[in-house]
Amino acid sequence: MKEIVAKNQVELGPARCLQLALSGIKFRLFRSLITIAILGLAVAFLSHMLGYSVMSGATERAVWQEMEAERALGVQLRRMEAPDPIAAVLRTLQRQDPHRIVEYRTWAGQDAEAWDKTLEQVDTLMRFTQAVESLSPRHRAILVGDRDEIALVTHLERETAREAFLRRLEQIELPVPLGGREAFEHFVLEEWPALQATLRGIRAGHQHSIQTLEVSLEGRGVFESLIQDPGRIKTATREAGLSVEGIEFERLASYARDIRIQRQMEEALGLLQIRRELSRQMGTTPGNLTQVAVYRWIGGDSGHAEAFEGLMRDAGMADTPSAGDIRRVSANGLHQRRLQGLVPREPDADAAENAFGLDSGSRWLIGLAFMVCVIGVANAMLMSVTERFTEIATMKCLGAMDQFIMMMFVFESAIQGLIGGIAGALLGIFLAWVRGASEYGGTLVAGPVMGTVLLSALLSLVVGILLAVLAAVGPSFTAARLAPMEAMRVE
Amino acid sequence: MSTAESLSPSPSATAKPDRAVIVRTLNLEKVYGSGESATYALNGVDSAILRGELIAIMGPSGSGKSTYFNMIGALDAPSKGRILIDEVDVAQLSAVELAFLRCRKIGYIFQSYNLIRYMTALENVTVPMTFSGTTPEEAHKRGMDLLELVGLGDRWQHRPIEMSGGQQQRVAIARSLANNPQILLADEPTANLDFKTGEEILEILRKINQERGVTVICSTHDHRLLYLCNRIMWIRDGKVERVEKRENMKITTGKIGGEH
Repeated sequence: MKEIVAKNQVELGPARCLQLALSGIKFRLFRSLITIAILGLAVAFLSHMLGYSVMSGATERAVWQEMEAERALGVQLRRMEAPDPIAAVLRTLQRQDPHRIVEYRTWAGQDAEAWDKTLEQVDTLMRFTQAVESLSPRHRAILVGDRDEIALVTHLERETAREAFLRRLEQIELPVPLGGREAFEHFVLEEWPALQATLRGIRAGHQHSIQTLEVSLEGRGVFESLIQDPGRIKTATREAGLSVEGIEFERLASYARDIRIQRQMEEALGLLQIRRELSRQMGTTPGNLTQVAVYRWIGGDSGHAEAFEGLMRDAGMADTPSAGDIRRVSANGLHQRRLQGLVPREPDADAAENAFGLDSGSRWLIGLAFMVCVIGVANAMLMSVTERFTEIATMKCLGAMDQFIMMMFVFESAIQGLIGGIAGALLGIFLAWVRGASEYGGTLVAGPVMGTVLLSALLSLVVGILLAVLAAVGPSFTAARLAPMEAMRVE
Repeated sequence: MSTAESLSPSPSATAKPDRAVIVRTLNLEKVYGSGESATYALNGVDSAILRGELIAIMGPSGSGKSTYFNMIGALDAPSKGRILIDEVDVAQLSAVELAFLRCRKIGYIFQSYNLIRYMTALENVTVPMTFSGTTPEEAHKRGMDLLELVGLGDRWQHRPIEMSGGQQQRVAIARSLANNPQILLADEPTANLDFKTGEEILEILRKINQERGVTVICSTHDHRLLYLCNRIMWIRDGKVERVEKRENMKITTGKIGGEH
């Protein structure tokens, strides 16, 4: 009586499951399309965010590098005319910039031992600065007032000021900076004056080198000499004791040349005669003659640069630049302006942490969008399950096993995820490209990072499918556990 | 047709092996709720259904008829008592074995046909064959034969929506026979059909019962079935009220017995 003749039911392969799921999707095409659209939009959102983040990151890094290079040229030029400001010297010493640190050491006239001490003093100063910076705004107001760090240290050299500072520290129960009163006083009274002397020495040395350079340039000025003979100024600079490491004098010369042309053009725009004639040619009032408007006008037509050159010559300006130069400088001026509008981003640590450079705001948005999507898809799947109660129960009466039913619904969702995901990922990239192009214009860096962008699309697709499966787990579990008895129910 | 003696559902019925009995229930109870609010849908049902017979199960709604029907179809588990289908205690079967049982031993026919809407007639018929692991070629051949049997050989690629209720029920009958089951469970198979179509369906069931020797268990309110069946079982208030052979019925109802 207790013998069990039933053998194990045949387990069906995924192929049959897939076939059933597909015909189910086809039958409920409209409903499925909505689910696919939800999934597609979520994937499009992710792939858009990732793709755009990659492209904009690459673009902004490129812009940053370009502007940094431009800025570096400016710094190199300025260093030949005026000594470095104290803050710049301190920064260089802290970073131990190899090109300049040799210069500074020579100017400071210190041996290896004394130089090590100086670097240590810089280090201590930086630690003190950090301690002050980490104060809360209220404590900062009490302790520091509106002084900057250097002014503060100088102020603390006076005994009364120092005593007052320490007393206040004690009152608000903060530790003495640099790890104790003794170290603090040692820094303020001994290290800081020594460091100040060194810094003064460096400045004086720099000033001296500049004077030597001026003398050897025979009073023509760095700017003019650069434009006329970059090779000669290189020699003169080296001889004056300034470092020439890492400086491309040819580039510096063309940079200087462009600046001069820019200044000449500005000068020309200041002349009443030219303003009047130019506004007539441009068809605008003299009041609207901004630099940018003129740059645009010159770039707008090949003849305009020649016209501008003619105006400058007619006005009797010396050393009139060629039309080609005018055109180039205008274009570059517009380009630089656009770059400045882009708020370039230094490749920061946070962005380096994740490959796609998403900021935390975007991550929250994506997370939120996906939660909405999961709930939407789960709801759609639950509806799909609910309206098919009879069908599922009938299948179970006909011998379907729980796993098969479950697999069928998971497959259905996964297929929807796949279709929606592919469409969404492509749409997302396309939108990211459109957004990038409208925001960055010609400076958009898309080609070189296309691999990463496609990778992000692929990732979005995978996430979309996983999402669809995740959303289907609950409803399909409900379906799988449905009692076959339900099939007998009559609606 | 079995000529064995009608096993009257007396409480003294024992569980000794009897080749003539295909479904036997012993002191079957089904309780919904617990404690004070407990409701007995079935309250100690002892019954035996014989191999190869066509039995009609009758009873008013709320009598426990549906519950009894679900129990003997291995679709629901009793609160107490045992169900033996082909001498196997259903309660002892695992989920996989139950699926096996439903797939091959029992064929189900539903009041509202329950065809799968997105499949053609042939696909509907072959679904149970898929679950039993039949090869697609074999399933196709057998499915066509079965559709032929119910008279729908030329409509194999129609979908349920393109067929009348009677045609759908015929497809459902073909599907119930997919894996050559020993038992056919038909739940009010003619309730949704008009008079003539209902008659056709009953005729098919009778044919299957006689030609294939399949045990047909049919819950119904349709009195025409009384002409065709071997026995009738009445269920009332969760108990088997009466089991009669059709011959004896003739006496009680007098007028029955025209063409048979």
